[in-house]
Amino acid sequence: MTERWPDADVDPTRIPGPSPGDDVGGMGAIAEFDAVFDEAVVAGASEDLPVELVPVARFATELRRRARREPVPPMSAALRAQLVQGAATPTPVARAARRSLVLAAAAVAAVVALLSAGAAQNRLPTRLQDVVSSTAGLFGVDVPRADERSGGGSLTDQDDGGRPAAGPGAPGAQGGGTGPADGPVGSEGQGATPADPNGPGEPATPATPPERSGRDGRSTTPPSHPNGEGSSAGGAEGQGQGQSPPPSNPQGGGSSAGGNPTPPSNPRGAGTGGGNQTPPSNPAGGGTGKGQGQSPPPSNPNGAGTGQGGPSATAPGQRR
Amino acid sequence: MTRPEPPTDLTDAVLAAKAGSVAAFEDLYRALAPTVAAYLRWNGVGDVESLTNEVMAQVHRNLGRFTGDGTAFRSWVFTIAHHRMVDERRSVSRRPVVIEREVQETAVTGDAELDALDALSDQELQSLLDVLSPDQRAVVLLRIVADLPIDAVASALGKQPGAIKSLQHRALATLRRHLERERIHHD
Repeated sequence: MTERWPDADVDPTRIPGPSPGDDVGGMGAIAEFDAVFDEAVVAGASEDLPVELVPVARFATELRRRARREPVPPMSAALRAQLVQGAATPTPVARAARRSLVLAAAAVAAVVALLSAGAAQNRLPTRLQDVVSSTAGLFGVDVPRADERSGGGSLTDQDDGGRPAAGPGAPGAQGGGTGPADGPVGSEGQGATPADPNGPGEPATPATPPERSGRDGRSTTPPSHPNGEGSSAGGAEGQGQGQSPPPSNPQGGGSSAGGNPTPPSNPRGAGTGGGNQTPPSNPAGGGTGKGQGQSPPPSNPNGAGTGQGGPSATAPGQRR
Repeated sequence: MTRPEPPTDLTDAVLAAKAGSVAAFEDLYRALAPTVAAYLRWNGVGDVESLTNEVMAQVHRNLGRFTGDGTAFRSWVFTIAHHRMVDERRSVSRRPVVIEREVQETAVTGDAELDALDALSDQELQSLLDVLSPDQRAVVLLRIVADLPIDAVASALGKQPGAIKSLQHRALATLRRHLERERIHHD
């Protein structure tokens, strides 16, 4: 059972609605009334205003009157000079010049952005890439050169990849070494000549990896020529004089006096090597080289190397 | 010294000034510079003459981009004046300077209240305006001194017309209360 208020017609939880005698539109009328009065006060028409608004209307009138009595301020020399120069409207020529300047600046910015993006990805043409790289280098920004492309990106890489060895290894011609069959090439190193498993001759020189740009016979990347007859880079003659680590050549009869610290992977290597830090991948490479030092165990099972080093520092080779 | 009556319609002068007529712009200057100066002065700007010249110089520079008739031109000029005044206030960042002006002689009208208002110095008028907020004062001055309609004031201040009406109503109510209080005080 719900409890009801004594006056059942009045629900205290609800705001009572308008009664028949209420002036519902009164607030709106008051607002309109205020707006009309406000305009009259601003206009200074005090005749029809309520008494309390008359002083305000007179204040407005006085304020307007004093503003109209304000003297004309003297025109400054700068403004007068501006009037004489006639800078009222910008000339079309000046506007066009400004617009063309903005367009030129935008075009330059777009070209620079494109060049930067292309150079950063080393995708520009070789000459342009080099120019951008050298220019960026002036500002201390490291942008790769075109010859630093990997994966056959440039002609230089391809050229370096598979030049025939200067001294194709006669199997076992000078074998007897135990060095790696396919060693990288040092610039002046005496190649770690791979052992020729069947060769009685002088140590076979491991095939050299492709040398980059022919600089000093040093390579940082393995050659990409699978069957390349590797070339020596910097090795004059494949005269091994060092001790090579124990080879893994099961039949290796060759000796290697190479300085290649990395194991070659030339299975039939007749390559050159020396001082190169990266393993070549010339499976059938024939190369020359000189190396000094210790070579890691070769993996040339049938290595037949030659001891004739390539005289050149660069190793242009076959193109794929 | 009273200024000559401004031309009722500035449209022709505006067109001529846009075409490059120096004389036409000087007419516009004579018509509007005093009102601009009064608007700046009642808003408490210190160097009224200098700022008025800066306003009119900006008007002259941008005149080529203005389109409209004389009424729109008047509204546009006071928009520039208001913005320059706000910039000036920000740069000075101090309270509005009360400008000392001499009490101007006025004729006795016979109406005690009106005579009392006439006897108000500019400083007293300024003190009445100072009871308003900056927005309320700007609205009152643009409506009364610059004779701009509600829409033009709204455009100049970057507000909606309804907000201008509300500001105006509150400003007038505040003035009414202060004037009433002063009258009681005098009585």
